[in-house]
Amino acid sequence: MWPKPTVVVVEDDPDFAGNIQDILEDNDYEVRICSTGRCALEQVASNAPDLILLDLRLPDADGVDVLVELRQLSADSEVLVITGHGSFHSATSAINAHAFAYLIKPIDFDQLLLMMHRALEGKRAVRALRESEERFRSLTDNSPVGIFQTDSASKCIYANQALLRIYGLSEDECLGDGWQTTVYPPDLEPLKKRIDTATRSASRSEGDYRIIGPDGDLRWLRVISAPLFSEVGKPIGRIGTIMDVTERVQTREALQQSEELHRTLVDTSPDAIVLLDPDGKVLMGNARALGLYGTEDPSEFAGRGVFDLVAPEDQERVTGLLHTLTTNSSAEFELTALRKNGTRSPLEIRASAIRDSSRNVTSIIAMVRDITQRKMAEQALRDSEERFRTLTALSPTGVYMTDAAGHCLYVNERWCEMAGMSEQEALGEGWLDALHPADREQMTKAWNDMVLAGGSWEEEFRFQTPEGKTTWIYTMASSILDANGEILGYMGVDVDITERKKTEAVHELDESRLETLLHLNQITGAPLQEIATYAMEEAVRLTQSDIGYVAIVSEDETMLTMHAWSQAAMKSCRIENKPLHYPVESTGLWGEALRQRKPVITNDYTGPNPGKKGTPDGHVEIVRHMNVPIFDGDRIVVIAGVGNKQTDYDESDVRQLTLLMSGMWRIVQRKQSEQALRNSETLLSQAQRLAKIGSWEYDISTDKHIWSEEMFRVFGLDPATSEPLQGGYGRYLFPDDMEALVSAAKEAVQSGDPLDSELRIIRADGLVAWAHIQCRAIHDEQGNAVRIIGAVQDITQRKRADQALIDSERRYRTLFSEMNEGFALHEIISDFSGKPCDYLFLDVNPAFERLTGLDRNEIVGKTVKEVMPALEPYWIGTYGEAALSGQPVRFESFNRAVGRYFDVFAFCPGPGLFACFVADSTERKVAEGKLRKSEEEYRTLFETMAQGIVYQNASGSITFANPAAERMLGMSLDEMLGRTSMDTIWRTVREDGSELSGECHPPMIALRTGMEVPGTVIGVFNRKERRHRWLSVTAVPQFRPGEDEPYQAYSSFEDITDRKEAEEALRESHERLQTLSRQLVSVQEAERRSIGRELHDQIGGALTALSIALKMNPAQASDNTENNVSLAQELVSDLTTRIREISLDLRPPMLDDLGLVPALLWYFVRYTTQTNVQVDFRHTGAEHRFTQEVETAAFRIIQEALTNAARHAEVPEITVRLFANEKALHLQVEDRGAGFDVDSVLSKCDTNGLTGMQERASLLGGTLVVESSPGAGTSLTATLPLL
Amino acid sequence: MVTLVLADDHNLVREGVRALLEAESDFTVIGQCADGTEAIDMVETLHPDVLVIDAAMPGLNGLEAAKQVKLRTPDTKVLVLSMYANEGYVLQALRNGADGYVLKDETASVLVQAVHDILAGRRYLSPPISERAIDAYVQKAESVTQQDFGMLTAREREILQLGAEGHSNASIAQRLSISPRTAETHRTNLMRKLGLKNQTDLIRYAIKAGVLPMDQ
Repeated sequence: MWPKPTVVVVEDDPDFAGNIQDILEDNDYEVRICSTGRCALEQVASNAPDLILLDLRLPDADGVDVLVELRQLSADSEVLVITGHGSFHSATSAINAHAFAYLIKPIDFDQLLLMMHRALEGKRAVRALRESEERFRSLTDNSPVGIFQTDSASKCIYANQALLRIYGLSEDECLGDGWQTTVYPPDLEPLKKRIDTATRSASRSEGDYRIIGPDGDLRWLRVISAPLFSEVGKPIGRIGTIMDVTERVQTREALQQSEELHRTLVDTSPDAIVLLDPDGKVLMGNARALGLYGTEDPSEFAGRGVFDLVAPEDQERVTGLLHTLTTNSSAEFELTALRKNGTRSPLEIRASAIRDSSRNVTSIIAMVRDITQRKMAEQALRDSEERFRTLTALSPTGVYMTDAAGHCLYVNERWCEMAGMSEQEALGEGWLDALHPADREQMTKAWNDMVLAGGSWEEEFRFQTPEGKTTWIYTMASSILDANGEILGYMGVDVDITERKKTEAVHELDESRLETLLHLNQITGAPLQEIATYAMEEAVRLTQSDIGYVAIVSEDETMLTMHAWSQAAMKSCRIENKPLHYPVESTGLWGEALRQRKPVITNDYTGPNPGKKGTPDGHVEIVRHMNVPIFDGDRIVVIAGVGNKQTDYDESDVRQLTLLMSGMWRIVQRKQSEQALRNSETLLSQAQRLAKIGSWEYDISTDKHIWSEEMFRVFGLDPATSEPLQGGYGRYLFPDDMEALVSAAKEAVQSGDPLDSELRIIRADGLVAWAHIQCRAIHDEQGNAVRIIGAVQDITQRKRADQALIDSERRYRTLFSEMNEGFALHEIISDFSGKPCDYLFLDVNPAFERLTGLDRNEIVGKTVKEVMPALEPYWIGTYGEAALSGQPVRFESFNRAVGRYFDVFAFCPGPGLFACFVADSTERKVAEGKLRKSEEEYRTLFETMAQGIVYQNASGSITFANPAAERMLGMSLDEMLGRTSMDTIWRTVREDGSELSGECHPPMIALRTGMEVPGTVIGVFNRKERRHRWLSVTAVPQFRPGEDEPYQAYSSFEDITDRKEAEEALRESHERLQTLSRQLVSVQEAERRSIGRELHDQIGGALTALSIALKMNPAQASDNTENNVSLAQELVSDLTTRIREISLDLRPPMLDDLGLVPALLWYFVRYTTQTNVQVDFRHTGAEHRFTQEVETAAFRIIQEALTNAARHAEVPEITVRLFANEKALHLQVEDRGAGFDVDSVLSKCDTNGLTGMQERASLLGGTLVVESSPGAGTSLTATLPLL
Repeated sequence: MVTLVLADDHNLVREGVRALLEAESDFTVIGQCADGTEAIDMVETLHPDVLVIDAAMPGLNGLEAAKQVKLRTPDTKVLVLSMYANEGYVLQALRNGADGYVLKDETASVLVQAVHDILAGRRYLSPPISERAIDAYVQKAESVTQQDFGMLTAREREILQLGAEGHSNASIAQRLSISPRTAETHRTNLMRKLGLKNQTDLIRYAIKAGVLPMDQ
């Protein structure tokens, strides 16, 4: 409900004022009366009324001046001027001062009320418009998203505040093409092109470009725009939104780069890598894995279950292995895999489990190696050959093979079918007989030429079977080469293209017909006769006919008028004075088409036919005939016929002829109606010229126009030089407006009512202007109109202001309704404490409805709690904050109902309001999600690869390395980046230990030569471990498409240090064993020597003495016997002792009989006796028996150590300790004697027993450490394991 | 009448001993055998008063056989004949329950005396073997309580001390002019030798061993 309208009535006549007040108050106006101009100005200044009724005659001022002042005080108040005596001057002044109406007393109150009502309505309309405009303006101006509009020339005509902020431009700088100055130059041309394309196709467009932002940095903008259409559907420009997506693009780019890098790394990995989920489903495989599987399409591989990929007999094993991986971190195994094509390939697989933070297996990485490549290749070859055989035999295309001379060796079944001959018949040169006679010569030549040149052929030809069936064939053959490049023969395929040929023929006819019609269209100037003749000739050609005609049917369909005969028909016709008109009822067969109202084909014209009435003498002989009726609506307008085609007419001919002739008829018709239209337009413009309206002050009796000076100016004429236009200003009006004006004027003259109209005029200088035209007729006493007076006012400016408002409102409304992004305006509802508790939907745009699935009609005017009772209070809080604080909020949300992601901006366009800008980000989210997942998978793969991978660019600088490489090289990626092979840090060595210069690193060789450098063993110094690691390196150069020089190379390497060290240890151990056995032999020899010497010197001597003593017995006197016996006994006793000594030295029996400690105790006593060196012996836990090996080793080591000490240490005492626990026997011999340099002694390994001792210890898996230095004593510690 | 069984792997020796013993009128050799296992069975079957057994025999030696015999047939006295005067053997024989230990190069009278003595319930040892020497030997052969600390190499002791004082491997390496890897190896070895699990164990051990005074 509108409030009561207010009116200030400025009238010095109190009676009249009172009258007006009563009437107006009755009509619900709030009325204030002023009797003076001053009072009026005060009233209006204090409280602007909706309307002012102003009497021009005032006691204190000139009414016109008051009017001007009032207008200045309140532009919003509409002024209706009332005057007792209408004068030309006052009227124009009033109108110039924008009075809404000009009324002459006596007032017709109905008229007054009507005018007031109209003024109010106008005001209200403008107010509503303004409010609407303001609302939308505020919405768009405050939107955090950039919004723009362009005109049809792609000039920016609007940019909201957000966009100006994004560009860092003022509105003036931005409009037109000004915004382009900020665009990053390389992006400008593509952007313009895109705008251009989108503008021309009037389609939606979306894209990114960069600008140089206000801070001088590059910003990424995403623009989405859509075309705008005028009411009549003409594109008038575009609107769109622009968002700063720099962070998003940067994030995505980083992600993309990372993903790409890792993907390349994994893809180009020399290992086949397959990623599985814990259930064994393939998530992905790299290029090699796909290769192993036998596909290039990752989608064919991913998603498969691992059980699909392994042979049935291995499936159970795989189940077990997958289970193993839930507990073990890795597993290695071999199995037989099924390739995509069903063949089997034995693979070696190393699988490891990837776990999340809670140790659950998230995926399984399998490194796969094909272990029987060659066998597989052979098998594949056999399979392929077999497949080829089956394939060719069953192929739906013909297949043929020839020898090098071009003689047929093989054709398949299909070929025989098409050619109509058996394989046997086709062999050699027999196949030539299958060729269509018309093609045979040419094809034989082409084939022979091809065989001579040794190349390939590609031809189209026809087979003709003995039954006469013709088949169009497309054939393609090429040579088969053997390994040396010699031609073995040719192989080709024949495809039946008969259908295609047919279609092509029809297509050709269609093309030809369309061309004809096009041509017909162009010869518009030609008379009907010529057009018909041309169409006829084309019809004859299209139907491959000989003769033809076109006859026009009279409107009542009783008469045929011949319009054209084909030239051929004319030539062979010998009828003189050919009639042009034929009554339908007298026509023969050719009239049947008209009578039956359908095409008639007569392929046996010579045969009997009921319709035939015979041809006149001299008529062309007719063999076949066909004609068609051409309809215009229900009426047959043309009969067209052709005749004497070589073959039978068929539906195709009917179609061609009908279409061509209908086309011709339409062209003729259009030409005729165009002509008619042209004629009527001429008439209209003449009428327009004639129907001039009277001049502004038009004396009806004298027929005279009188124009004021103003009048000339309104129409763009110079008052000084111009005369009032005879006939008035009608020619300056828009034609559409004129008729309305003319009739209104006529009515005004008759009724005497004033005419009041706003019209556009085209001024003499060509400018379009708005004119306010008012006039009324003046009548004489008899009631006859004598004069018409009126005013024409230039109201262009006011109209423009209105129009601008309309345009602006419309623009904003269009923006709102046409945008691809959802927009919704809400009012926040707060509780008593001012806390937001709900919000009201004020308006939503169609995109919002589309995106959210909410219906505007069902939500506008309702609160969100009504619409979505389940909404979390969180949202109200979030939006409320945006509405109350004025701070925009941006977030992403997922709408479960429609299953889409949204990018939401909430912002405050006015107090208590908030607007939401909603963009569908699902695709981006999904793409990003996919990208992120993919990136992660690749990265994980890359990072978990056991092989080290390093990428180097063309100049050898490291650009990337995986964690395995970091580990092996003992350097982080950051430390590696930018280093080259020439860096001294690597300290690379060859396998033989000699230095390897950076230039000779495998990747450098690969970069130089462009060739793969397979497994080379090099040693690289690992700084972390301060030692060399041995790597087996394979370097592979990589090329960009079309380039000859590699742009980078990657090295993949395995750490073979352990293997090499094991080999080394083995070799050393072997060498030491050799040394030992040499030593043992020499020790044995020494022992033997000493035993030999002992036996010879000691035992031998004693035995000789014994022998002498015994021999003396019989020979000497008996008194000596006792002596001799006792001597012999002494000798035997001595012998026994000596032999015992020798045997003890060899190996003390107590070691076997009593154990280590008793043996040592015995030995120490002997040792001390022999060397006078005391032994301090302590032992713990060693009393029990150990294995013989341990006891022997311990005893010998101690024996040796003591012997050495006695020999070198020069000390009175030696400490020997034994300590045994359940794990090991430790023994230690220490002295405080002379000591020695361990290294120098160890290096001459055969000079003492040290190495022997070490060997004894190491043979039992133990260790022996000797610590000594000259003057600092010696400590020897051995540990012998007991387990 | 004293019944005897003789066990010696050398036929000649056995016959010689038999001749010596049977020279005594009240001695009867009721069985002879050539190894320890046979001797055990024979004694069990024949229940002689005395078993005269050679200490060194193939298969089961005399010392071990003596032990078995004393377990199964405690009434039979066992006299060990041996080439070795070594206290280790004597001690082993006595510990195994032998009643007498006679060296083979003793005179016949000593052997007879020995049989008589052990039959009388006295222990008999050949004259060169003295009880005192055996006592001294027993002391030597006994396990002494010694610090397993002693079993560490000199380097390991240094590293134990430095490690207990809180030095890192790197710092130890620097002080001793060795590589950190070597220091680490030493530390691992010594901890394994001493059965230590962690740094706390190491410090506790160092204090116990006196390497690290408590008041430091």
